Amino acid sequence: MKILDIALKDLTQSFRSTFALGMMFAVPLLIAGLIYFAFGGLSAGVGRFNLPTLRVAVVNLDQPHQNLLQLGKTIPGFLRDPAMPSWLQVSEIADEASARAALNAREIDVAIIVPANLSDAALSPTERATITILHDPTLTIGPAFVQDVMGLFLDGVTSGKIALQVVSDQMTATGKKFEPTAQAAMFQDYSAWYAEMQRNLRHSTNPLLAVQAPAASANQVRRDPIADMMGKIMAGMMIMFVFFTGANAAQTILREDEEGTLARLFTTPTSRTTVLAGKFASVFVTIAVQVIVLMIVSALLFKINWG
Amino acid sequence: MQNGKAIRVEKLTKNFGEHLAVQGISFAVQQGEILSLLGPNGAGKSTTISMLAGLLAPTDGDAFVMGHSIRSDGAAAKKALGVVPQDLALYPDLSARENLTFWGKMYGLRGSALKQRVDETLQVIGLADRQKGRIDTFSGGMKRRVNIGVALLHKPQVVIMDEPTVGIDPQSRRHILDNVKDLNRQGMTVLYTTHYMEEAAELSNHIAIMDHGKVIAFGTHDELIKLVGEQARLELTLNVEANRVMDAWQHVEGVSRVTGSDGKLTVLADDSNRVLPRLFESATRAGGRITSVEIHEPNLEAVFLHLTGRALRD
Ligand SMILES: Nc1ncnc2c1ncn2[C@@H]1O[C@H](COP(=O)(O)OP(=O)(O)OP(=O)(O)O)[C@@H](O)[C@H]1O
Ligand SMILES: [Mg+2]
Repeated sequence: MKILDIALKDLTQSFRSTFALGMMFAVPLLIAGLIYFAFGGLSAGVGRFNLPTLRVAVVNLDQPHQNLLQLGKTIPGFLRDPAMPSWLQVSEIADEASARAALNAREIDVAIIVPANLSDAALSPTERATITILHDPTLTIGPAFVQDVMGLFLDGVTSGKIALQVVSDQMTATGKKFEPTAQAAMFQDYSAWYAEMQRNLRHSTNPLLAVQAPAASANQVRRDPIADMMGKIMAGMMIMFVFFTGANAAQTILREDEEGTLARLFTTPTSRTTVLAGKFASVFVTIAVQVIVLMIVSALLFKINWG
Repeated sequence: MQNGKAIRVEKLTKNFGEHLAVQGISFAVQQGEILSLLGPNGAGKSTTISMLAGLLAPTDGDAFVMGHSIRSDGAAAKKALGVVPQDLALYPDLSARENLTFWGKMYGLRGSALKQRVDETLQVIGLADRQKGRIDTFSGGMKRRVNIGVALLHKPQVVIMDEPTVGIDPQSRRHILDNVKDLNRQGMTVLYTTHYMEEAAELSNHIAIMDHGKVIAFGTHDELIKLVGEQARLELTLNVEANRVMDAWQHVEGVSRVTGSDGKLTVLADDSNRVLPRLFESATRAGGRITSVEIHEPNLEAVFLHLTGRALRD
């Protein structure tokens, strides 16, 4: 079959040409690879969009309020709540200086300094306490998250304060005495209720606020977002470079014309149709090989599921 | 079979628009001979060959290869023909062997017959030891040889070569000319195109001189030479006055004319080999000495000059 002979000759030529091979395989894989690495495909949980672990240290300077209320002590527990994201790593440090040192040494990312009068302030209508958040200046998302979480915590403290004030006013109006022990007990109850409510807001079986990320398709359990993206990029890349291969193959006809081999082919008993069919066959085979190789290699490299 | 004619060209004509590249030429190549198509650049040699090879449709006229009309039976004509194009037509990124194998397939060869012919052809063109080398690593002469080899693979009855020795080293040229003679000795008919008159003179049984799309002369080498007279022209320098020997030389056997002045003389003679010793003898007797000799044998160059008033080479 002369058609196959011509196709085979073309294939030998193109698979011998570094340029053609580069444009067929190396360049599309290289571009896709660059995109893959740019999106952090190499980070630990391969194929997962994970925030890096956020190391938070709590410096609890809070002094118990008449041994009745120790708000500062509840903060680490609050941060370690199962409802908190798993990438939050909580530790405790004794004083602010060591916390700053740990921050500078990049041993921790965020430090929460709980002031000595936090519990006092919670039970006093007039006293104010300030929680300080120190963080690694290169980080943005992590500290912002800690700030939000601590804001939530302080909301609870403030609303507890308001509730306490209201109850206290009522009792004074009716002439009853509001004992400090009762105050502390009530605040504790309130904060327990508040924490429960916050947790339920998102995480109970019957949440008040349901945040869902619907899967793209029902049967795609645990789809890998990077692999998904790479699949699309690689598909686009293949279409583009398959066109390139096609153009390249069409160019072999022009090249043969320039080199005189096309004319020479016509001096042999070979018809024009045969020559053309041979060229088309080689284009077809080249593209098929290219697509298959690119699919296999990209599936191995970028964990693309071609379905 | 066509009275022993391998190629018969009849009133073949090709016009490129206004340009009359080939103007109704007719000639025949006998089976088993070498015919040279000799002519300067642009004479129409390649155009004629392209028509014979089936690459260009004639404007008018026809030609027959082993009796097959190039107009009505092109496929049969192509099978009988091997064509060596003027410009290299090979795949530079394939090896010599790969090129020959591919072209062999295009001529319909297959399997062990193909392999055998490729081996034989590599022997003929003297590249058996370089068969694995890529064409683009070859010298100009080696490329030319592969270019020729391609046309020989299918053992055609007739080979057309279009200036196969242009721009190569003397060694490769020698190899190619010897190849052509060998092939011809084995019975292959060759139509050889050139603008080197030495090649035409050395190779051909017949020579067709082409100019401006026409065959202006046709014949054997000797027949063509006769058109300008067969005499050799000798240019000699003497260390004495020319007239001291002029008279004596006029009467030397074989000399037909002596002209010249001072120490320079031009002698027309039938055979320089016989005449020159006599001239030396005569000069000695006259007390003179011949200090230089230039022999101009009658050649095709002179024929072309005689026919066109122009030199064959610019
Ligand atoms: N395709 C073409 N279109 C127009 N003119 C052409 C074409 N091919 C050849 N010619 C012209 O026809 C004339 C003869 O060209 P041709 O190539 O046959 O000459 P040649 O005898 O082979 O010369 P050379 O020794 O340079 O190869 C030239 O004047 C050339 O310009
Ligand atoms: Mg030419």
